[in-house]
Amino acid sequence: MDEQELIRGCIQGNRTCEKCLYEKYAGKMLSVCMRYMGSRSKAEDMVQEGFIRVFQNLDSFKFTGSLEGWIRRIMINCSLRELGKMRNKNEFFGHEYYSESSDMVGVISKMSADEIHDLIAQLPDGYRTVFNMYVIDGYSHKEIADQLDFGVGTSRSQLAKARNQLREMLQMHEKIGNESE
Amino acid sequence: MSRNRLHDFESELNRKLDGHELDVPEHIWSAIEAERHPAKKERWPVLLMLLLFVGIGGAGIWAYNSYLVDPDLASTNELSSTSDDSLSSAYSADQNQLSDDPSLNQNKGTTQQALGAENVKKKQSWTDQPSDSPGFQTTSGDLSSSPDKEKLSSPALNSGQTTTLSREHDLSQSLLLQNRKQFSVLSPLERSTEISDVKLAEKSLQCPIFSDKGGMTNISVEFGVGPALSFHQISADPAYTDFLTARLQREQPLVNYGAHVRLKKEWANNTTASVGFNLTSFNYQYKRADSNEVRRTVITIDTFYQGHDYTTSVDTLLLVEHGIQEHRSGMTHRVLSFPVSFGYKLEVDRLFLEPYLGATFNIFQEARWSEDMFSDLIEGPVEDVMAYRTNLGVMAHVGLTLGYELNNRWSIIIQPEYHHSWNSITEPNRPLTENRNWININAGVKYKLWQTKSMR
Repeated sequence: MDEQELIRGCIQGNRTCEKCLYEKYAGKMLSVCMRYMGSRSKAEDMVQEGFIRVFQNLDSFKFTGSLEGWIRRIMINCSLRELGKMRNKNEFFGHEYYSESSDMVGVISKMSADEIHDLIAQLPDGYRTVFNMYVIDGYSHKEIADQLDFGVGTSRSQLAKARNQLREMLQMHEKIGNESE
Repeated sequence: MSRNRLHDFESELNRKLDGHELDVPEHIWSAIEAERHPAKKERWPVLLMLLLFVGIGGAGIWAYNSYLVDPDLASTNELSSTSDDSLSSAYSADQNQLSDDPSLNQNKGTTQQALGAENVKKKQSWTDQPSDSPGFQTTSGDLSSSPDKEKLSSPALNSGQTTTLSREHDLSQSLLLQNRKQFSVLSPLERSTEISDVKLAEKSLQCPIFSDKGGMTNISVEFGVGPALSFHQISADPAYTDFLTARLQREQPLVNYGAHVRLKKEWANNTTASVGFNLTSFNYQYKRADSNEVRRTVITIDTFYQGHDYTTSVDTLLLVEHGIQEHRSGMTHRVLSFPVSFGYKLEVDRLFLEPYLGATFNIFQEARWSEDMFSDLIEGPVEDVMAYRTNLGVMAHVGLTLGYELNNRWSIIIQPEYHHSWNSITEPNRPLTENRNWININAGVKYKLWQTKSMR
């Protein structure tokens, strides 16, 4: 069954098609939500809510872009919305970190995707959100500012802080790895 | 997406995370499926409940009529048999006395005339009394204790003591009376009073509900107040929302209450009919998250510390938000209902139980407020709407009155009552569909306005 048939079946409320679509993308979307939410249980909630929205609004999908991208956007919107509800400024923006930059490519190449996930999850909510949106999901600062309802400057500063903190964490990870070897 | 905007390690991080999947637990799909395809609401439990109610009620009524000794009927038989026995015995004794006394034979005609006149007078006083008044018994008693009785006393007269007759006895009396009628041996008193209504109880031959077996007919007024439990179902038209979601949640009902006043007639055969009005009020609060494109201009002033410098930036942004608007709606339904009910009353000593059902004509008045909340802001409502609407509807109701008679006039009652609507109501310009059902549990009093006693 190709993607168009799958979508048509879902629009008609065919349960088999809905399940196929879900099984095709649920794992990836859980990974996306996990990056944003930082906790497995919250990410699962977002996947659930996101797929309900996907099925409810699939008829508005125009076939102009990829279905996966469209679903991913919905998942990200769900996650952002939830984060917005939870938002407490102190918690969201966290404290500032700054450290000298260093080449971390080698460190990351040794890590598994799950380890990277865990690392990103440790970032404060605000840093993590901006980092995910900018670095991994390709949003611009303007888009991030629009979505999160703050200034472009804030988006830039949050990204800078997220990068610094992630570098620190990678250095720590590398240090622990070297000691254990 | 251009990757050159990323730092050194970020491209590697992207490569690692690209296509990454996690194991998804089963319960997520179950939850999605449950929300996407909720179990269709079955109507059969309601119908089954109604059938059970009618069945159990009918069986109870039948059993009640079949096995309960009817005191009214017993007293009727008692009265009839007492009069019949005493009068016929008196007549026999009179005849014997007259025939045994030769001295009186010559005056027989005169005496008979006098006795006949006396009996006619007694009959007159008997029939003049309302059949259900205490005087009826007294007249009968007067007859047995009158000088005539003393003059005409005989063992036969004493044998006509007041006893409750069995049905066989009723039958034999009836046959005897018929034979005597046939052979014209009725006494003048029997002929004049036409005591011919010694019949078998008809309840075994007729539908128990509609057989009129005599007794009290009451007209009462009932009043009660109490809480109301609502079972409104609300669904939103999917076309109403164009983006992301149309989720509707019903939140906790707030203050719900009801009150009723009813005028009720209770017939001697225990059937009842009532008319009146109910007032029920419900308060609801609904929450709906839906799509809205909201444009607003925001000026932000950010001061942050990066590196060794403080930076302050002032941005003016036109924000376009999608799908993060939340509506909260509150509704107050006031329902003025005019129920017409039919029931059957079962009594055990002072307690009574009355299942009933009927139709309700309703006038709904609704006051509604709503507010739109931005889920990412805490400033409060940006819109406040109030609306009123009145419409008409017909619903069915089924209920049960449980009561306790305090005295001849007053009773205390409690009435659980279920109102059901088969029709949903869709509001114009506001695509919410409602199915309205509720239960009133009213407690109050019942006051007997009039009471009459009827004889079968």
